[in-house]
Amino acid sequence: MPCETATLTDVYTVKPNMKVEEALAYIHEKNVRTMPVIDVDNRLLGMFGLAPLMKSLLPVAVTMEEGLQKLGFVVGAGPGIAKRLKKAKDKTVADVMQQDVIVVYPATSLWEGIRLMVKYGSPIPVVEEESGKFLGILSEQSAMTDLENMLAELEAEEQLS
Amino acid sequence: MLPAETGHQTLDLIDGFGYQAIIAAGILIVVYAFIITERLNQAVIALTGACILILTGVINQELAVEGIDFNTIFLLIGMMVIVTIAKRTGVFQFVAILSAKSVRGNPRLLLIILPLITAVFSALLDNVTTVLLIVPITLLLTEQLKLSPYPFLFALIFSSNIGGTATLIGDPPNILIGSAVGLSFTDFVYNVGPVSFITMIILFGVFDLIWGRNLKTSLKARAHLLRYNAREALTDIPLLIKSMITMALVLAGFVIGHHHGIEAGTVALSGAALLLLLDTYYQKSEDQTKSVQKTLEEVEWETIFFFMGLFILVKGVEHTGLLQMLGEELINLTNGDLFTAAMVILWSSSIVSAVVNNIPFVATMIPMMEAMAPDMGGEQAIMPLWWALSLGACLGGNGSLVGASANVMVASFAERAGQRISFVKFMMMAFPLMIFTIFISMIYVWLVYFGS
Repeated sequence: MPCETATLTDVYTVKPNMKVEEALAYIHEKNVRTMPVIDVDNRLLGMFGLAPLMKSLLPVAVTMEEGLQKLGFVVGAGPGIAKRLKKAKDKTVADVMQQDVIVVYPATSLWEGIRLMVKYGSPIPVVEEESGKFLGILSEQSAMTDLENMLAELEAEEQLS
Repeated sequence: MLPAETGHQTLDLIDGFGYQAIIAAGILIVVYAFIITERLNQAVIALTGACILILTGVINQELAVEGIDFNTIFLLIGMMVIVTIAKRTGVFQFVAILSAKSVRGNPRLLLIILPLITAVFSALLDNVTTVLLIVPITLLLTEQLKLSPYPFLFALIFSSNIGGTATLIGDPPNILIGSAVGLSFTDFVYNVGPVSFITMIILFGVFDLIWGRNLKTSLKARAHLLRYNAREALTDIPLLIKSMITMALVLAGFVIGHHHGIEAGTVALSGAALLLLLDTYYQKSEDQTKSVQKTLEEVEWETIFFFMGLFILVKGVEHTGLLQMLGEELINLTNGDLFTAAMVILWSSSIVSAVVNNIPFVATMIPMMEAMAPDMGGEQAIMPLWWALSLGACLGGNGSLVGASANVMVASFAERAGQRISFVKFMMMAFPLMIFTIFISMIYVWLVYFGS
């Protein structure tokens, strides 16, 4: 069973040059946690959402490879973080999006898709293997729905036989 | 075609000295070229070169194993294990935050205190580990104080290399020299410690003159820094106590052990075994295994294999008599004068170390200098030459971004943090400063060993 059958194609997306403030309002409006970032040729550039935005608020000393493992010693940083959010809102989606995104292809097996979601979280973008064009997303819900449908089909077949 | 007899004579001549020496020298040059150009991983190329030497019969396996300085290998592994466990306690960040708070976030004083603790840590641990732990917290502090991190990173590079110069365990060239010559921890502290200390103090003044006096930050930013709770940086206080006890015992072992025939490698490895035991004895059997495996995985095995390959390579070249020949050439060049030889070694090792990895250079110099001893008055007489080599190789590493592993590490961190250090910009300032430190060393060597 490939990921294609569990892929949601009707997905809200954002453009890389959109202001973070606008994109943030958009994901609030649509009540989603994350949105794919798509260029004019419909190619996937990254993922924008609350988690990448939160990461951009952290000091670079923490987010860089082999950076600090703890920040508990920084006391009273609240106002500082709020100011960082204000600055981040003026940036573009491209500045704060997650770029190293795990993707699946339509032909990828659903088991592999589920394994990736368990390991890296949901949703996972589905892209065309050759061109990298964005096709949709594989989410925990879409995978569950696909599996439920399959179960119903199997039960129906059993009843017929 | 040569007559058969003449042909045999030619082969005998080649077998006697030239043939093997040419192979060994050729392999060594190729290995060095790859190390300098960084086209291949240094451990891989050193091991490959070492294996070729054995496979071509330049040396046999017994001689190759004999060439590996296990005192150095034990010392490196032992200290790496101790640091791997100790760094989990957050003690390095704790000290850095406490130091920053002790100067109340004053940027001018911060440019002294952070390099100072880096120098102290570098003297007791390896430089790369020290900067690995200090650079992230430095980046956080400079970001908090809205300061450019460049002066601090520059000063950290210099202080890590200068601090490392002061002790037997601070910098790989010292480990190599100490182990080969049988020098103790205190020998290094007494001989190269004072000049390292003087150089560091002078450089604090230089850094202040160049950057410190112009560093400005707001009182608000300093007030934020003063609210940092250093205690929160500590993650495991019982482990911290165990690590500190082990470290103290290891340092005591370095000082006392030498007089009782216990080599530094044994002391470090014993310390590592003790700390591994203290870290895991209370855990369940399977947790102990996981914990020990995790710690041992963090040992820099690439460095260990690089050293092993290098030792075999140098042994091969030494076996052919090539290094002895070069040593004799050096004696001829200096007319057998010890002071001239010391100066040649000091300056040449500093220049070479500024542009290439100083470890293979020192590893090659050691047997060459050992070969010089009989013609220059014996082992005791050439002691100043070892100190000149130590100072030149360790301090020379400051000359460029690729001069020492710690420099490369700082540059890599800076790049990750979006604060790229330009090779040329760094060298424009670092190379003259390195020459200045070698000049100080030259005066020191002259006054202390040749003054009377």
